[in-house]
Amino acid sequence: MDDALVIGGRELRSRLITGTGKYPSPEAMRDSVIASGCELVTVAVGRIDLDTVEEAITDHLPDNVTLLPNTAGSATPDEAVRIARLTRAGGLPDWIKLEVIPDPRWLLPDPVGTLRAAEQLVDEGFTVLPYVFPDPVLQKRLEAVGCAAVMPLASPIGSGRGLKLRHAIEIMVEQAEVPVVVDAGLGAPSQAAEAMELGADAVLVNTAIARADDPAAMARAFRHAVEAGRAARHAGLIDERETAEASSPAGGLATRS
Amino acid sequence: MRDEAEHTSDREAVEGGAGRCRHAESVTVTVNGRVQETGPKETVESLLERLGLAARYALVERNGEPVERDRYGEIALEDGDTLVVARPVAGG
Repeated sequence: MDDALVIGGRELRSRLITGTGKYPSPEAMRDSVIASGCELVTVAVGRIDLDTVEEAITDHLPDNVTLLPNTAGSATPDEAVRIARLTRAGGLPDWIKLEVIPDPRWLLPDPVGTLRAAEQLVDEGFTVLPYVFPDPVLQKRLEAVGCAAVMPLASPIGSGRGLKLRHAIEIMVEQAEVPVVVDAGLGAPSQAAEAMELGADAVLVNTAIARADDPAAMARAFRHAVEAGRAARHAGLIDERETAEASSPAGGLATRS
Repeated sequence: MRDEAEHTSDREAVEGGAGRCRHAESVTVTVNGRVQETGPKETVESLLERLGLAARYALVERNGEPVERDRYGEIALEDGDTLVVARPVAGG
């Protein structure tokens, strides 16, 4: 079955995107990225510390993955635009995971600032994937300015609480004109499968893999869960019922009078 | 940074031009908040190399403007330039 995900004109075979943060070691990150089968990995952008020569994260990533830079650390649209311009000028892909996050406690994105930055970056030719609270109205606004995908959070970043805003994401899926990528808060493969079953086009997972006891094994589990959820979506889930409906003949051998 | 002969010939070449003489002396730039003395013909690329930062994905902003990677080798640093050097780091 040809079931490629298309974002910004690019076909992706994997519907799992992974982050590169929080791993116990660069080797664990690399092994996990490979085990996940993902094609896109997110990276942040940070100033180089002139005192310590650290290894570049990019040296640890397999060659066949594409970097998706994010604008982490941006509290305002201007900061996000600055990071995006810097990454593109420096030779990174002109895809940007747009994050405008003014609030350090809940790490919830600023919808107004995100929309403003998205408009600017689309105008400048970027392929923009904004990280948003699952707001179906905001989704439409972001689509209207030309975003390539919309990335609603399942629950707060790193919380592992799963699809706490499921109904809103269902509305987004139902009315989507560009892919919906559920990003943040997925703590277990079952939650990723649930997101895919309800019709998300892809999921982005970082903490649940990076902080697992065995990150590569968890990456593999997420890969299978995403594939299973996608297959289930295509197969057609049954409607829920209020009461039981026997799967076996009711009679058996007993005689009841 | 530069040998005396080259320095002298530079001075001869600009005899009578006080402005150029100053230019031939060292250039002070700020890199990630730290003051750096550089030679007069330092480019973004040579500065990165000298600082051991010639990683594949060094990202450079000069005086608030992003620098295109293709131009790292041709942009000569000027006295008072402020540079931000960044790169991809782990993130979600």
